[in-house]
Amino acid sequence: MNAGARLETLPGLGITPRLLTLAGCALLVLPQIIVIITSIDPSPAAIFPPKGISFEWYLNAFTRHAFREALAISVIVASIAAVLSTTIGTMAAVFIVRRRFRGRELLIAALQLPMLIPEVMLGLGFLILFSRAGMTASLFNIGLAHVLITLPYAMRVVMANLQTVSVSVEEAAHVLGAGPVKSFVSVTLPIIRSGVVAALIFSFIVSFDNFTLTAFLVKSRGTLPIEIYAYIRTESDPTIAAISTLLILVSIAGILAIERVMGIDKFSHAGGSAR
Amino acid sequence: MSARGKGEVRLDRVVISYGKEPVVHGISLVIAPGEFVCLLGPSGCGKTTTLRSIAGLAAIDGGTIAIDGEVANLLPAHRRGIGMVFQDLALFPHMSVRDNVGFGLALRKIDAATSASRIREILALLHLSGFEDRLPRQLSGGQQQRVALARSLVVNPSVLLLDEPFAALDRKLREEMRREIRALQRALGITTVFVTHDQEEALTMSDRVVVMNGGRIEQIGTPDEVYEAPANRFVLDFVGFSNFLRVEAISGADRDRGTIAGTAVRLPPHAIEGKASDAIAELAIRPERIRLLRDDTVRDAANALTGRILDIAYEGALLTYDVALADGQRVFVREANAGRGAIGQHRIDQPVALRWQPEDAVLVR
Repeated sequence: MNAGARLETLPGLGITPRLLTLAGCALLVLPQIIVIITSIDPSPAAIFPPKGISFEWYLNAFTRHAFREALAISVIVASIAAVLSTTIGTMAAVFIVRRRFRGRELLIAALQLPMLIPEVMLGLGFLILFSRAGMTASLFNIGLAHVLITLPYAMRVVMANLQTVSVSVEEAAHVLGAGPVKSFVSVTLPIIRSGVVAALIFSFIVSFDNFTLTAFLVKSRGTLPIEIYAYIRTESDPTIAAISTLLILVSIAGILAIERVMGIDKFSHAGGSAR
Repeated sequence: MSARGKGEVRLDRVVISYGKEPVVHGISLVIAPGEFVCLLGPSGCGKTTTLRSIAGLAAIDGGTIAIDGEVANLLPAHRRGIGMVFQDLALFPHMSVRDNVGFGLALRKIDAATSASRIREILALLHLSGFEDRLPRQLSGGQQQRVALARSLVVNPSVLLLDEPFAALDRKLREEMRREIRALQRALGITTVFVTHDQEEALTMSDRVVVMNGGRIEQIGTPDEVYEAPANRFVLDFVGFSNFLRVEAISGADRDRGTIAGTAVRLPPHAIEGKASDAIAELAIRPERIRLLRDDTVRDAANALTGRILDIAYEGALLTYDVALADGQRVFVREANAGRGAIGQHRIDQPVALRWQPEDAVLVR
């Protein structure tokens, strides 16, 4: 926004930057607004604009057994993925931020890789791996895969937070008599607590929203996005729009929560600033 | 609080490297119980690394560190029982003053009542009573300093280490803290190692100064030994300011006569190594040891140089004269500001004579 304001003062550009920004935002938000509006359309054809207001699709979403089961699976998978990847991510962040060692940059890159590799490839890879290894427990496999894709997010958030903590604070705890574990638990962790909470929320959302990777690993019972896709292939009523609206609200709540605990800008700046 | 007689620190040929690069090249130093020792040197001289090795925060690659006769080489930082104040103070931002100070006591499993009374005592000693519930960020720089000090002292450490703790303070507060820490250190009788690059700080506070350069000790001595009888040119140059005058020729039966800017002067008995120019030798004289006289008042030529005042810097308590000798060499002369009229006594462009006692100078060969 500041950049926009500064650009605006340049001669010849006029109001263009502001308009471009607005257009960009509209492009991001409009599809979601359409989904929200569609979800209250009483007609089963999911047409736009809607002909009235009805909440029957919300009712349908809540009463359908498949959706309730899928929601429960999604919540369980996302919770496990969030806890595991935040735990691993925090440990990795501590190691990477606090230690200087050969191949450090390589390790950072490797741990970011799941974010960059196309999920179709990851999914295929996991599918082959799991079947070769004889791992048939579908939900367990999905959870494991979700740990991998949420790890980069969790690690980045904690790294960003950890970089603002002076090493000497930990050293002070050591000199005062605290061993490595004690100083981490009673000094480092409380200071980076907001980062850890943000990492939990972020990983949860990433796991909860995932479709592509999950689609490769799902057998009979799937997560909510998978169930939504299965439904949309046979039905065309706005039940999906109703669910999507709820998911949008959950995501917004999550983002607001992260913003509250640590500030979203800190996360987005975390990328290249690894010391 | 600290029992007298404990707190001896002994470094024996300590070597410390970062990766392949050695930063401390085998230094040896014995710090007596209750002594206040400053490690003084330019940045990168290894003084902070040495301090950190005593705390157990920097691993040593050779030699021995012993605290109270016990080899501590492999003892981790949290088992050395040392107090340390960091350059950035390193207060725990999420803890109150009380919890910061109580952190070390809690780890020592001291019962709540004793702990509370010790916290109360140390906070009173450091004028922090009433601030128990504040967070560090709600305190002034000086108060934060005191909390850091209280936190390290409350556990009765055998040794107190201070790593340039005044770096963040303004000049007035810094001088106040210097006096306060020194008084406190004397009262507690606690062995203290202080790291600084500020030679004035080192001279005013220490029992002994350890001058370091390039990972080696250049000299260990009392403040006046280091200032008056520097072991080499580095110490002479780093501790305080000195003029270095080119000696063109040395003569006399005892080689106690020299020529500077074409004038014969008496050379001092004290000579050190390390001249920086291609001259036969250099004569080093501190600016405050030279007396500035009006040219016409010098009757005999013994031990006086003549020159012309180029500039006068008014520094409040002091006046510094920038004088050019006959051959263009510059000499700085510092005099106390004697009050009204002192500034008018010598003028720019005025010819002057410079005199000093031969024993106040040092010959650098």
